[in-house]
Amino acid sequence: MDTAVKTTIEEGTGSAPLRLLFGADRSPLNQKVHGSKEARHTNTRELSKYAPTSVLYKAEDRVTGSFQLLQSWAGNVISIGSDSFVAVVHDRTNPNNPDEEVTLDIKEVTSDDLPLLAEGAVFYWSIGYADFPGRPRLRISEIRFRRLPSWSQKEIDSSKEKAKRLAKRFATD
Amino acid sequence: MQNDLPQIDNSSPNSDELEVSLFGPGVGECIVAHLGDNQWMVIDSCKNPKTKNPAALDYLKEIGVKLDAVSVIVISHWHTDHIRGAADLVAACPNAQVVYSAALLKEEFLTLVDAYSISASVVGCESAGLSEMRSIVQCLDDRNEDDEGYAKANMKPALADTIIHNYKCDEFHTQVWALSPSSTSFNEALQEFESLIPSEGDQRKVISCPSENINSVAIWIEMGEYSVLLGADLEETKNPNTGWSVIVDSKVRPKEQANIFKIPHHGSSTGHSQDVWEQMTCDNTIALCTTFNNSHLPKAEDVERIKEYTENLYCTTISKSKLPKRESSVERTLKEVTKTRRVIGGAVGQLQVRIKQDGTCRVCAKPPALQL
Repeated sequence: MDTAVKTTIEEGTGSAPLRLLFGADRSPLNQKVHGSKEARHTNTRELSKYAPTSVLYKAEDRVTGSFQLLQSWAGNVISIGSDSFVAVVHDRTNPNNPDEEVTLDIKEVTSDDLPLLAEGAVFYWSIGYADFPGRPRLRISEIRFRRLPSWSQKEIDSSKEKAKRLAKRFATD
Repeated sequence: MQNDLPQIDNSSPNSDELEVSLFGPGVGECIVAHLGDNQWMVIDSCKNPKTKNPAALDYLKEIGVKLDAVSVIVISHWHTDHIRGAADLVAACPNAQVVYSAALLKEEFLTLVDAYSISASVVGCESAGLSEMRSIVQCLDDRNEDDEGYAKANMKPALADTIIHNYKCDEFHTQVWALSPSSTSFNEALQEFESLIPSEGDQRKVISCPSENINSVAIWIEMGEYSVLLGADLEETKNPNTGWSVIVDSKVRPKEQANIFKIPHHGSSTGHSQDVWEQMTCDNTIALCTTFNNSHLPKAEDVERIKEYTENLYCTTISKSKLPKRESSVERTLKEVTKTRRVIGGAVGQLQVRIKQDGTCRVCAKPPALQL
């Protein structure tokens, strides 16, 4: 039984975000290249439809590469439109740079992260080069939303208690 | 647009000279006012991106004013663009009475501040507005810890039609009024803050500031024969119990007309009230405005509208700030990936208006401030 992990590269029109997942285990590599509309993970039987552009790797042939980070931001979403969102980004590479407000296409967000796209949501945005042996260098822009722990009742109650004490202390009448 | 205004006067004003200096870095606002006899008031705060200090502290140092001469600090509301550096300001001016929009030190908002400050260590970033408020609250708490009577003597909640500063000498009499928020606005603010407190299971996030500004503190200064109206970010709500309507209709407020008007909410149409222009400002009042680059305020139509009321319109900055240059691969990627991109804040422009008691008035500017 073929348990190969494969990458499908589809041709298309329009630009799409470039995103690479480095499979530490057998998780599929899902690669989009500039010019492709979308990438799909396909099974072995469909493989022949896309020959000769599809590439087959055996499960034990892990593709490992390196990522050279050029620029990194931490951002938070301030508004969401029909096809774009606005965020304030803080420069993590050079914190002396001023904050910027950017408008990004919602297509820059992966399908995994789309449910996390909300006002106030926090993300990391990285730009860099990905190098794989025997492959051309890839320039990558990646946005990943943070999966943060939810509020606990204990935390909220503690804040309410502290607020009560402070409000009493600050009373001027 | 005119860039030929005289340069800022770097000496301190005469003891009987009224001064209003407005600072704006593109996103942000701060006012420094001389109330006579070397008594100073600072309203809100923004930071100088070069020095990283509050613009007010840099200016006072530049003109040789000691920080113990700051008598009043006003926190008009908690939006990021009006509060950056306010904690440093409060800490640096120990003699100042801290006046704040009344809802800001009530349980609801204090709960919000504390809850999000704990969350910030998990999230890794937080709203600058809440971060500053957290530091201010800490400073005030520490002072109260050292002196039980501190709050009663040095802290004052601002509500409509309250006098926050009163000074009389042989040459002149100075009064400073808080014109807002109304009691309705105060109660609505408390409800709004309550609604923002997270519940168990909510996803952590960076809090967004609510868009409407009804809780902002508008200030009136009277010094001798001259008056100043400082509009903060107060908006016209068309509700007779909130916003500008309730101020105009107040039977208690001073009835003079302002010689200097800091236009509310960056000249936006939501901050505009025809009644304020007609009833609370004199003809051709000196109108000062800061920009809010995130929303392109003031827009061209805002400038047109304002110029129907006065020819003397000045703005702290109009040009867009330069984006920082990054290496070419990053710049190329940014061009491909972003639809728009702009720097939040930039060089701080300053408008300095000084009026002597004999009526001599001078408007000076520090670029990029200019006359529109």
